[in-house]
Amino acid sequence: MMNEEFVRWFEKYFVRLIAPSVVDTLIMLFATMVISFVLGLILGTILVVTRKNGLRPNKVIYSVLNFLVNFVRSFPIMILLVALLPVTRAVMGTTIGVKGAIFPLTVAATPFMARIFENAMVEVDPQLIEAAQSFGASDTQIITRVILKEAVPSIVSGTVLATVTYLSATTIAGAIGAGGLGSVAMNYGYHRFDDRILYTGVVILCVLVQIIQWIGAYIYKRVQKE
Amino acid sequence: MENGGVYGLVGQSGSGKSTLLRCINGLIAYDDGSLTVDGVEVSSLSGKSLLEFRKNIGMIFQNFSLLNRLDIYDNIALPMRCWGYSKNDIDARVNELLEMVHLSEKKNSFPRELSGGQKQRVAIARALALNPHILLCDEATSALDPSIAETIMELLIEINKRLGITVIVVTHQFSIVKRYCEKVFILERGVIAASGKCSDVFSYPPESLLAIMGEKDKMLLPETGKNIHIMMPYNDRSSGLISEMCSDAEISCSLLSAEQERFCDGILFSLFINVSAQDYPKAAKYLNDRLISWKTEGRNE
Repeated sequence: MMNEEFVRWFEKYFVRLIAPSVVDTLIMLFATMVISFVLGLILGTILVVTRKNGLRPNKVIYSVLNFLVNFVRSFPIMILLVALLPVTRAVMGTTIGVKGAIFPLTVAATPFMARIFENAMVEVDPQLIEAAQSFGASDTQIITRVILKEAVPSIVSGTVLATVTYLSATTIAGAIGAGGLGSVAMNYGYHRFDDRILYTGVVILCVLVQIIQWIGAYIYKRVQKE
Repeated sequence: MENGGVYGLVGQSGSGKSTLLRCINGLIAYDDGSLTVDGVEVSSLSGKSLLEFRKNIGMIFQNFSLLNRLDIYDNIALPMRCWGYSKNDIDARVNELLEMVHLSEKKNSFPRELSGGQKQRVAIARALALNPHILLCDEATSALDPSIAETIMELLIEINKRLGITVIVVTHQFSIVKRYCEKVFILERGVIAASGKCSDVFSYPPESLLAIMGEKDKMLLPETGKNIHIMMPYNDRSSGLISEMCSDAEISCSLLSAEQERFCDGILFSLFINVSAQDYPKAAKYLNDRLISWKTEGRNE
């Protein structure tokens, strides 16, 4: 009897509801991380290059970008998602679903990633940069062959950190119309007092975090060995 | 400084020796004065021409400045990769350099697996990769044990002799400069306070050098009689000098110190003796007659 009831629940909720929502969450997370990784790397590199003692110090560019990064990062993620609604609608054409979530999540994640990458690159020993300059490397070569090269392990660990952070952000976005695991746990689990769905969501999130950490640790080990 | 020599640049920390070194390859711009390398005014260079110029000047550092995530081969190849050399050229050159610094078997090791001396040898190989005319050494031996520092300096001297590369050494280790450099420049608050052949400068140190050396190297001299400091090339005659002088000139003297000092151009014998005031003219005549370099020292000159 119990088994039959469970199978019916599994059919109805897990296969049709929870499993697709996991896919949605992963799509949101993946798209957000890929876009913000690229943009964050560009932004972080500009910050490192233009900062005081950077390769091409530029107070104006650095101050403006630095302010923007701090400004966006000062929003709690939930407020930022809501505040961006009109912009999201203008850019993406919708504010709901996976499509409506990727834009605001990317806006939130990019400055976060930029800061992580900036810190990773600033930590590179300035003497290495001096050595590269001493044999006539150009600034572009110094960025790609020295700074980014040496910063790879910190960039990897920072990206893993950001991925876990933005996994939880996707669930927050889920609560305000984005879909995904967050919205299922919220709407079907919490609002309908269905503990089974709520805690299934929790367990799946825990598993996802573990998987992200495992993959991250594996890549980190690989790049360290190089 | 002339091409092909080994030069020492010494001074207290903050005297500007590392800064001066970085002015030579344009890492730091100077506001005042003029600095020409191979007939080129360094401050007139910018952009591409500055990069081309730096190609001709290798540099090594106190902390070796190797990329931790590249193996030894790739570290040495890095300058050539930046300058777009072909794969075959790079391979041939790197292997040649590895042999020159005696590290061929460490080719695929990573910097963290090497000792300090080995890392500095890798850095030397990297600095030589682009066939520079000049090699700048910024406290290159300061982080190493004295015996390792010596082998590094010997390697640099060997490179200087073999390839005719001008070597400029910045250091606070006098023993290194004394022993390996032909000429020394003493910097004091950004100004060259003294310069000259190493054996001259260190035999009769000028004020600026004494100031850096500190009390340790100052001798305790008696207040009575005359103190004479004799400097002569070390040979089989030099150790017998005092007894010969005492019997030939009929004077008596007391020995304060006798030391052999190694310089790049040979060993000098440094003697401090004390003679009574009435014996002093005889001793002076004896030394002058034999063209031996000497001078009086201490307060009772």
